[in-house]
Amino acid sequence: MSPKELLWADSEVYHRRLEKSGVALIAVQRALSADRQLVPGIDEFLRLYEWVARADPDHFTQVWQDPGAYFWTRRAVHFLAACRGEPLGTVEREYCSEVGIVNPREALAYHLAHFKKFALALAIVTGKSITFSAPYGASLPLAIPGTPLVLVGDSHASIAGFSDGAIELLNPRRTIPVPGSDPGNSADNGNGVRIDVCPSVTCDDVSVFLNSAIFHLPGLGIARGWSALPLAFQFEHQQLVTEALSAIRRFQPWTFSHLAAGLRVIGLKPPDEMFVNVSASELPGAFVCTVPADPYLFASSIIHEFHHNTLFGIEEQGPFFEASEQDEIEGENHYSPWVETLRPLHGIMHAVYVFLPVFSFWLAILHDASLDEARLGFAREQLARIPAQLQMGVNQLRRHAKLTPFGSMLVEALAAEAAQAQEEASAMGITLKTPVMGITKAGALRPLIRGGRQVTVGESLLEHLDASDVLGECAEEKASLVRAISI
Amino acid sequence: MDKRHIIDLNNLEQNHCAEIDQMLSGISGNSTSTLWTAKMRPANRGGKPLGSPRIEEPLESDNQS
Repeated sequence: MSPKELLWADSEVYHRRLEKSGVALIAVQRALSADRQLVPGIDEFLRLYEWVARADPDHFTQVWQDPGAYFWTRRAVHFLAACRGEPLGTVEREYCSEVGIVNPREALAYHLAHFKKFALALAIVTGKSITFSAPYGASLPLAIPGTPLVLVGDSHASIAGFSDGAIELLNPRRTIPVPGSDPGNSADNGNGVRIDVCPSVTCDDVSVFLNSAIFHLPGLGIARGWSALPLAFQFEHQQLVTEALSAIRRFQPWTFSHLAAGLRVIGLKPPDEMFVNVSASELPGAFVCTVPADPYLFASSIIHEFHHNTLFGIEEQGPFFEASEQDEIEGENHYSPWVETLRPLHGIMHAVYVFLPVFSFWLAILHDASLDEARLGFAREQLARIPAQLQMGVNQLRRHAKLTPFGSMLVEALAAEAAQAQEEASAMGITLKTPVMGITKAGALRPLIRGGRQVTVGESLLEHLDASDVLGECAEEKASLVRAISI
Repeated sequence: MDKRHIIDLNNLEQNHCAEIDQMLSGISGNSTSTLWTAKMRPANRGGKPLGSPRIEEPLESDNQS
């Protein structure tokens, strides 16, 4: 497979990741079978595993393709290895910190108990009964994997099992019937816990749940307050997601076909000071986006965030960076033209990758020329801005990264595409004197006016370099920008 | 669902022995770093993104466009 095919055409990348999480689940089961005394709860886990393994593979896949399954198996592997002396990773340390656990054995026992949510989901999907030996203490909201169902209400629920179409709860003992999967349905037994149904959007072969609760997981690093928002917030913006998916289908059909293979859940959140949009490598097929937004900008956000997912999948085939004295994954050491603070090289490589399809999206919109002038103005701005940022990103990687042969092959392929993007923008007559477009609070697009005149893309890039290139890494690019602006 | 994309644990057990063994080796304390090359860092450490600038203006004018 050529680097270009590997980067953009290989839609099996999502399935391979899913398969790997299945392999990891089997390995966890085997490791625990051989060490049943390691922590409490292993016998219960092994019993549930056997039950899950006997399920119809179609049903198992429906549950296991939930982004949370990868999160669960990867943590299980790391906590198990930590019990044998491997140091905890960043996510596992944050996980322990959030749930108030201090050692790997406690963490493994706690984590194994959360396998029950997959067994519960499978029971619901298949309509079969299941009873837990020890109740499942779930933190709410709980997105039930692979389904549109969300258990909401009190901060915790004690789940005894599932039978006769209802979830059995304890303290006090009661049952909540599982509602039909029609969005907006709800089942409530009046005791502080109910089941809601999240909205889903289907556009041809793409089907996605709008569910903030899936991000309610310890250690993810995403601020979690918003994930407890009522599902009404997701319903409110359902039409926006439909319009954005339609825009991708029209202007970038090859990404649309990948969405069908790999997109599972979008969590919508209101604007705040914490973050705008975010993807996590640990939740394949899921990301968070801020609304309200213009549908075409939202489409470009979906393309952006989804390609983070894709690159995380590609990275499963081998590391991009050689081990070196700097931490390429977490070390915030280098100027990035996309953020205000210094970034790790891994983040810069991701940015180069995800902005290439975003560029192509806006290029297609400009070629089509049928949208309104504000959106075409935004498209022109993106075509002026992105190639300059891509070039700086590529330069930063070439200057500072110690790449593996695999990483080097991909970065050079990305560099060639960045150069091509610059040529395509120039061919459209786009220059750095293109006006910057701003966004109002309501999501409308307007030229950015300062001192009675429009700010240009070149000026904004230069301002960013002045403010954020605190190490002076991009002096050459800065000089080039100054020349381009002054012509 | 595409039948090629069904995950069957029993098939995986039979057909992915090398991957399972590799995973078990990592779990045994022989370093998990080679198992998961897609390295993760908590998502909120990404730094503040440089999005399109926010323009402060009355909402009424948005509706006129």
